[in-house]
Amino acid sequence: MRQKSSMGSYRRGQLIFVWSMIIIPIIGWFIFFVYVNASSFVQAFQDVNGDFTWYNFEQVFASFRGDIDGRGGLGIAMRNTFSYFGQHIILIFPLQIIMAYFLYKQIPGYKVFRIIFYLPNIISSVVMVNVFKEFIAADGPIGVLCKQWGIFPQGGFLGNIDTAHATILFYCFWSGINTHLLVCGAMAKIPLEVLESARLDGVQAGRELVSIVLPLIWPTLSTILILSCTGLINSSGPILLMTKDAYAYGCTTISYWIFEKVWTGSIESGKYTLVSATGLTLTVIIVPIVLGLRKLLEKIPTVEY
Amino acid sequence: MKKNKSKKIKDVSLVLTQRSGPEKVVFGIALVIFIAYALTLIIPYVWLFVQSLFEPKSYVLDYVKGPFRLPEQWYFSNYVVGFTYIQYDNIPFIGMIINSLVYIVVGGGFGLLWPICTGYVFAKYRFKGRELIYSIAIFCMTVPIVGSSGAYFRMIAALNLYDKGPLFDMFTSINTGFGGNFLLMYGIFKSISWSYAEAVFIDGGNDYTVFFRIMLPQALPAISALAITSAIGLWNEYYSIIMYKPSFLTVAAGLYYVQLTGIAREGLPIYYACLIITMIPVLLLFSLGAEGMMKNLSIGGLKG
Repeated sequence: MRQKSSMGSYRRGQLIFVWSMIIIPIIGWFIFFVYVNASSFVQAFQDVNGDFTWYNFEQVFASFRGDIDGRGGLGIAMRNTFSYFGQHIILIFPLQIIMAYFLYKQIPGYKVFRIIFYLPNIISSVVMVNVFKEFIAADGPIGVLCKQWGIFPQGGFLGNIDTAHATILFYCFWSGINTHLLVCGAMAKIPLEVLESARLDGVQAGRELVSIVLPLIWPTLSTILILSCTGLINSSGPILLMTKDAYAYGCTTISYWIFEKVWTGSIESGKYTLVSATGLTLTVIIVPIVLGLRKLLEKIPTVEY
Repeated sequence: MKKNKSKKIKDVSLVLTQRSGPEKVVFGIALVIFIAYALTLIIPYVWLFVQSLFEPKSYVLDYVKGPFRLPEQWYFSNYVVGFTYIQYDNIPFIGMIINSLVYIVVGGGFGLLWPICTGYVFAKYRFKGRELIYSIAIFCMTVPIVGSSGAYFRMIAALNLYDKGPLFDMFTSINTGFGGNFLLMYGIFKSISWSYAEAVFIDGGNDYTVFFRIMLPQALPAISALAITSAIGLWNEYYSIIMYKPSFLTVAAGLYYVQLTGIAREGLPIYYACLIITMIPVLLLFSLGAEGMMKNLSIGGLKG
C-alpha cells in the first residue's frame, strides 16, 4: 500500500514536471499557430468592417492575372519565388552536399575552407548585400570591369528590369553554396569503419558518396528537404536590401509581396485581409504538393546505425 | 588497391585522407575551385576594409581614381567616429549595438529556453498525449501555411506589443517551443544516456534535479553551439525589427535604414567602418564556437 502510494506520488511528481516544462510552449502554440491562422482564415473572407466578402479573392486572382499591380503582381512574384526555390533545390543544395563531402574527406586546407565557406551564414546580409552592391555598382570593381567589356547594363545591374532579378538570383547562388552545418554534422557521425570496409573493397570517391554517404545521412537530408519544401512559398532573396523598388524591376517574390503589404498597410487599407486571402489561396495550392513530396521522401528507406 | 584489400587500414581515420590516383585529380580540381570560391568570399571584405580607412573628406576626390586605389593615409579614426556619426531616427550606431545586445539576451535567451524544455521532455518522458502533441508539432512544422502575417500583426497590435522592444521579444519567444530548435534539442537530449538519471532517482533526487544537475550540464556543449548560432542570427536580423520594433533598431536594421535613406559620399568610409564593426562580434562568436557548432549540431529524421 505504502509502495503503491509512493509510486503514485512519483508518477504525479513526474506529471507535474512534464507539464510545467511544456505548458507555456503549448499555450504559445495555441496563440501563435492556432489563433493566428484561424483569424487569418476568417480575415480572408472579411472586408475592413468585418463583413463577409469575396472581394479579397477577386483581388488575388486579378493580381495573378496582372490586372492590378502590373509587374509587381502575384504572377511575377510566383514565378520569381519558384526560381529561388528551384535554384536552391536543384543547384545550391546538391552543391552544398558535394562541398560537405570534400570537407569531410579532408581536402587540403579543409579546416580553413570550412570556416571561410561558413562566412555567408554568419555575416549579416545587410553587410553582404552592401558590399555586393558596391562591387557591381557603375564605379565598383566589377562594374568597372563590366564597363570595359561593354556588358554593363543601362541603369546598373539592379536598376535594369532585364537584369535585376537575375542579379539577386546570382547573389543568392554566390552566398548560398556554403558550409551546411547539418549536412557536415551528419557526415561527421558516419562510422569510419563502414567507409574503411568499402575502401578495402575498392570503392572510389564517387561511389562512396552516392552509395554509402548519402544513404547514411538520408534522415538528415530528407528532413532538410521536407523543411525546404515547407518553405517553398517563402523562398526569396534579400530583395528589400537589394532594390528600392522591387515592383518596378520585377523582383518581387510572394514573401516580399506579403511583407510589403503588411509593412506598408493598416487595418483600414484592407491590405491585411488581402494578404490573408492570398495566403489562403496559396496554402490550398501548395499543401497537397508539399505533403505529396513529403510522402515521397519518406518512402526512401533510411539506414539506422 | 587490391593489394591493400587483404590488410586492414591501420589508422581508421586514414580512410578520410587516403586517395587513389584518379581521386587525387578530382580532389585537385576541387581544391582549385575551393580556392577560387574562397577568394570571392574574402576579397570583398578586404576591399571594404580598405575603403573604410580613407579620409572621409577627400573620399569624393579619391573615388575618381578607380575602385582599386589605396588610401594615402589610413584613417582608423573612422572606427571611432562611426559610433556617433552613423545614426538613424536619433538612434546612433552605439545605441543600435546596445539594442542588438538586449535583443540577443532577451529574445535569444527566452527563444532557447522553450525548445530546451520541450525537446528534453519529448526525448525523455512518456506521458499521455505525447505522441499526439509530437505528431501535431511535426505536422505543423511541415505544413506550409502562408500569409498569416497580417493576422499576426493585428494580434500584436491588439495585445499592445507593437514597438515594445524586450517585452515583445519575451512574449513572442513562447512561440519557439515547437520550432526548428525543438528538433535539434530533441536530438541532443535523445543522445544522452538515461542511466545517470536513474542513479539520481535512487539517491532521492527528483525530475528537476535530473534535468538541472545531470541533463543540462551534459547538453551544455550542444546548447552553447545552438546559443551561438541563435545569437549570430539575432545580431543579423532586420526583417522583424523594422516590422514590429521600429523604435528599437538593432545594428542590422539600423544600417539598412541608413543605406536606404542614402549616405553622402563623404560619409561612406565611416559607414563602411560601421559595416566592418558589425562583422566583428559574429566573427568572434563564430571563432569561439566554430568547433562546437560543427560537431554538436545535427538533426535526424522527422519520425518520432
